[in-house]
Amino acid sequence: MNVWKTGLKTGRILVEKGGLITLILSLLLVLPGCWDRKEINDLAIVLAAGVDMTPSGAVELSAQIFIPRAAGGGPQGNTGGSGGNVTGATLLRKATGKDIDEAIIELQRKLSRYLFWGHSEVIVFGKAVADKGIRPYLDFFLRYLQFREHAYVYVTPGRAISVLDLQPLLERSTSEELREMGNMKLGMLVTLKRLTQMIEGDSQSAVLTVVDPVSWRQVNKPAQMTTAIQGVAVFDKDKLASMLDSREAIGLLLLRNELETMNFSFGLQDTEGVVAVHLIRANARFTPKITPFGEWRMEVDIQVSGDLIQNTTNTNNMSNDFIRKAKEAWKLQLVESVESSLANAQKRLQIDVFDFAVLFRKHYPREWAKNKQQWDTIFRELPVDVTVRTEITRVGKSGLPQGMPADKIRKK
Amino acid sequence: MMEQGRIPPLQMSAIMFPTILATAVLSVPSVTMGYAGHDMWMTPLLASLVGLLAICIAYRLNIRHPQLTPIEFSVLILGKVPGKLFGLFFVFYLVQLNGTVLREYGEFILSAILPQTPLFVVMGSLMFLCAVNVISGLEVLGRTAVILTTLMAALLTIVLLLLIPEWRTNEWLPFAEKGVKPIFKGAVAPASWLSEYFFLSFVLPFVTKRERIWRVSLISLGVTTFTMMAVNISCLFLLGDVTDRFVYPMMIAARYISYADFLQHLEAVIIAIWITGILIKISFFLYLTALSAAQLLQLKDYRPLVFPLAFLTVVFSFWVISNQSELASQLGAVGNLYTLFALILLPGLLLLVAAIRKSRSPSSE
Repeated sequence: MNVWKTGLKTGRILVEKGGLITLILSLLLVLPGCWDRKEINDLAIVLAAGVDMTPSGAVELSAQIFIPRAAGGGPQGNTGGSGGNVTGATLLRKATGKDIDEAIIELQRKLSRYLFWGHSEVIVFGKAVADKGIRPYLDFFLRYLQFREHAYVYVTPGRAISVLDLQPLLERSTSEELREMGNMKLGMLVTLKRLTQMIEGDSQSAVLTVVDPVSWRQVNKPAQMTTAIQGVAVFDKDKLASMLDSREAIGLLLLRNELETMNFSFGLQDTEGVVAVHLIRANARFTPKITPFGEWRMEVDIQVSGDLIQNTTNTNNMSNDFIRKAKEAWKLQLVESVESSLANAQKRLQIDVFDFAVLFRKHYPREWAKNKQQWDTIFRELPVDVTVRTEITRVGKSGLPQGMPADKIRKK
Repeated sequence: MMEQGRIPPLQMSAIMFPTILATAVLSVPSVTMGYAGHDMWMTPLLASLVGLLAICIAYRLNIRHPQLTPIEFSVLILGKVPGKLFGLFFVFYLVQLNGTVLREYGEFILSAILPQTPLFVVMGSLMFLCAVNVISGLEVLGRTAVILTTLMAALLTIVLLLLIPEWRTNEWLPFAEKGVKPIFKGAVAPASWLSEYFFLSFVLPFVTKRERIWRVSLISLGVTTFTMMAVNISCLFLLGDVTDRFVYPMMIAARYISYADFLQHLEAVIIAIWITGILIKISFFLYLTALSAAQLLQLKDYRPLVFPLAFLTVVFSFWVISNQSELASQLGAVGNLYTLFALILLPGLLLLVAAIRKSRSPSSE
């Protein structure tokens, strides 16, 4: 009886609320029809993008694509002892076109899955492209929806594809390798957002890290190529102006407050051998000045501190005298690299790679507005007073030089 | 009385928060920087004065006619024909405004996540949800607002906090680089957003605990202004002078968050903020449209009007603009002045006339 009643009731509700139920059911028809639905196994996930230019001026786009099967491995497929080998987790595809948009379509034609750039954490520009100017690509990367503003940007003296083509053993892909290297701050850590800020900024210059595949000859095995950070590249507006090697880059990085991982070694006065210091902290402070006579100048105060990591002199490194001498020698070395970097930028390149323009604009907005057009000439002649203060805080594990008979060690 | 539901002041402010901010979070940083340069961080502060004015007008009018909405008391204040014309203007203004907001939502969703999906489906599905929300009455709207506003505020706070390590705080210098005038120009855009506080006037008759209305409105204005400033500041400190080159700077900002290689791709959070906020905003405007239309035509109930008006709003959203660039100009100077005219000048004049003619509802003390 009760069952009957319930049944009748349900039936009546169905009839009465028929309209509503039909509506709800018809909504179900619409729900799966997502026009933008793309299953993950329909995507070719790009980990790194490389932009090159062929000698004829066509754009060559290369993409490092993640291979899910190879990376999966795990317990099922790989029960043998050699589970750790992850090489071959990526594949490289390239395509050419008269423009980057054409190249992307060409690239798509070579793949069975939709290209997905949302995980492309690294972008590498080849030298040919950098010479010609990277503006068109910047616009594309910052407009096309999928590209990440957080992607790290690098430049290579050869072709970008030769960087992406490497198969690192330590990381899953060169993309990951380049990202980790960027985080280590051996060069400039520049994201796509930072790059556009630099180029569109007041100085209209940019500095990028240079990566290059270097040959590494093993003793018993055939030679291998491996990625290495090789200094920085200086851009005038969006065009590559010059590449500086790692040693030349020190002054520039110091003046841009980007120097983090670095060792310095130098000799001391009236002793043989060298002292080496590992950089702990570097901080450059800038004071732009415009005198009442209209003379522009910049005061730079650089403060660095480091730890002693080597002492091959015969002097007791716990003595104040030794530390004072080492600090002085380190300071001289830093002053020299900063001065040479300044001279290089002001006289040879004539590009404001230190973003001094931004500082003048922020401190002297009115004078800046008046002299903006002449900034190039002002920068070339700008007197820069460099003060370097060094500090050696710790001496490492050993208080005295090691590997030397005690009677040879000088107390001071 | 047409609306039987009553909402406490807290729910009222929970409705207002997304009503102002849902669209403002995405557009204001870019629009204000277009005028004020990197001094845009302080434009919401100036604009809050306009918000205060809007609240004052709504509140003073409500004191004169505590039980009536502007559609009803405009007839008492201005006389039958001008009063009805005033009401008619507002009904059309609301449909158009809601159409623009809906289109903004559609354009954003299409350009950010669903480029292939037809615009109609994106906007239509949201509108359907809003219509169901509105037809359930003001009390449901108020409670929806409390839940979704909490969610929206929490997500927004998380995004803004996660951005702090990326800040380059010297971006705000030099202050007033091109003088003070651009700052005022830049303040017009947030001002037109904050002038939407006048819509309080439509719901004040249905708010309980009347003695707390004034204080809650002011707190609401403070919170809204502060949030707008926080959004502007994080965009400025993250993107600096290139903020106005992006259509949705806050989206770029959220995409930029990256912690320990796994807490990233947070743009989905911004989309969640946007959808929760816009749901309330469109529901609220649809409610106002339906209520105003019903009161204008002296119907017994506004509910039968909800679905037809929802449909009309969708149609309007196609009529008002045809592409993203037009939308930008709609949100630019002309659109802002139009909003200020409709939400500050007209109600202000209404209040002036009411004061001169000493118009008061008989029941008010």
